[in-house]
Amino acid sequence: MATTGASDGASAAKKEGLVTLMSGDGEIFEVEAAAVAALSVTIRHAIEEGFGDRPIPLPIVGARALALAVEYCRKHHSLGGGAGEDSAAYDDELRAFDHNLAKVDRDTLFDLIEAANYLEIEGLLNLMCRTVAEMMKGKSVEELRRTFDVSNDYTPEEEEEVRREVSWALD
Amino acid sequence: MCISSSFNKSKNMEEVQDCKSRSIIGASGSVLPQLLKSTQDQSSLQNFAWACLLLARKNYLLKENGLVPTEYEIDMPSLDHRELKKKKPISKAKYRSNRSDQRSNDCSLSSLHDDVALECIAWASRADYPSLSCLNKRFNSLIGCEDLYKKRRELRIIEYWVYLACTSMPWEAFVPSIRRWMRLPRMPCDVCFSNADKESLAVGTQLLVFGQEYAGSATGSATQSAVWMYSSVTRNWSRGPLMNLPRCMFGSGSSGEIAIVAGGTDETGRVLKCAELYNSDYHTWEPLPDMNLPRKSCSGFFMDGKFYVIGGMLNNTDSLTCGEEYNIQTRTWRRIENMYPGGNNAIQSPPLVAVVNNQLFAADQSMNTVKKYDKENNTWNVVKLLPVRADSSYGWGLAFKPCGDRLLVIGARRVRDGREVLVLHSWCPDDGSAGGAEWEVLSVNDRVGGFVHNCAIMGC
Repeated sequence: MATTGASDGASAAKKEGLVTLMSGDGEIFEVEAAAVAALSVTIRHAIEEGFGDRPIPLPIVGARALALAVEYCRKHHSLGGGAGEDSAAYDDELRAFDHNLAKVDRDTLFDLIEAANYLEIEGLLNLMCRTVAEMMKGKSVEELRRTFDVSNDYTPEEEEEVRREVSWALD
Repeated sequence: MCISSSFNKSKNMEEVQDCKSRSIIGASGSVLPQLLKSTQDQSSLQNFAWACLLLARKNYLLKENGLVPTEYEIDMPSLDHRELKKKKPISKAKYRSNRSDQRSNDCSLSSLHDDVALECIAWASRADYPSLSCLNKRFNSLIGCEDLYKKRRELRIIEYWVYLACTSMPWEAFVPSIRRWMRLPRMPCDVCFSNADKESLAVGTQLLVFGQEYAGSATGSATQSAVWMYSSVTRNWSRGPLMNLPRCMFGSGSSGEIAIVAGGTDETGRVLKCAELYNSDYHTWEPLPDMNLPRKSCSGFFMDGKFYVIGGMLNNTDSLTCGEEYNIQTRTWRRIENMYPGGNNAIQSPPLVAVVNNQLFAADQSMNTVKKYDKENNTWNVVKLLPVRADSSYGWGLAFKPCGDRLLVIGARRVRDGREVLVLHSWCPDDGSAGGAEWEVLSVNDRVGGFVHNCAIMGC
């Protein structure tokens, strides 16, 4: 039995070159199949395996992160043809786009990492992981815990032991 | 294929079960039923099944969650196990994590899968790893796993650190990017090993130090060969594997996870022409074919994917001006006449050579110059003056090493009160043309003494 929602999805798929993505929180995105498939291995496989004519459910990807990930795919597909940073096509405009995308707030940053990993968008995953790595740079243990909201599960004795082990490297 | 009956038996599910020690429980508890609600016709169900498989493949699902529906028979003609097997998630790692916290709805560093968290850490500087390991048990285990360095290799992230032992200190690491010194933990060797001459080699994530230690009373001789290994992963010393034929005064070079040692002298003083290959992933030494000539006090390096040995002595009096090239693919040695004209004499150090961007440089121990090798004409051209004198100590006590795309010269400089300080100079040869940039002083260290006994550059 076809529901209204499903037939909407079916008619959407009839539009030339579009694919429908459904975020984990139920939002529907109609996007250019070529752009997303070029950058996202997951979507490419879904389309190749014949799941492209219905909304593709992306259970753990939230709407906000999906919108940004789709934007990333569009931009990189249209400007760089999906090429990586080493390529000549990775020009100033693309660099500036990536640079701006990396300025998202901390929660969005980690949402985007999850999304990029799930969708297998290598460039986006690298970009966001590098941003996190940059945030770690030169920070003390306390600063790192604060920055990343990491809870400490060491007993005081265990922590002292670990700190003693690495004290030669900590100044 | 019928998804309901074969799903649990599928290869993918086995993979999930393999990984369950990683205790990754996705937000799937709420996601799947919700997904299921919106999938009411046959084709939507196919997409649902696809999403399930994907979640399983990416370890968001565990079998015992009981979230995989069994009441639906779904026809999936295009889905093939072999196809699914081919698709690997970008990040996938195998190790145990102590992570015990549950995923929350908010994403954070703590909520990331271990393999993705590992990717973030891989991009960070190794200098930040000690602090990260103090965060909590999970991070300590991530920082201490081999997979972190495999991930760095995969992402082609290489950070070069200088490891050196000088007169007044055992081993220290210098981090060029932040210009900081770190004192390594004490090597737990005996007094014989710490006092006698040593040779060192950095390969993969390991620093190997070769020397002699007291032999047990059962053996005939007073000393025996020993190898101590410092691991960047465990950040500590342990005993390393001995070569098949332990030796000293050999030439050595490393490339990624492998290293080759060639020539040297054995425990009886015999000059060797045999060579061995070390694989740091497996901690194994493998004998290679013999070189054409025996040689000791020689130097080795990798260039253009091949291993070379140059200079050194045939015996106690005859120095060698030829080099030998080893082709790893064909397992053959080729002699190159006059590759190191003049050679090094008996009192001089082995040739001071360094390969930067596949260009070979040497420090002239008597002229105090830097020379560049012309591969096509088999000749050397002076490109620069050394920033420190090499002739006064016949090249000993000086380090001349490649460090990424730079050349490092580490040596003593006398300061006003007559003391010697150790100065780290670096130079970027650019395209290798004469002149170029000036020597840059990276660091001046006045507590380690001015004589470099051992120096190795580790890139990982």
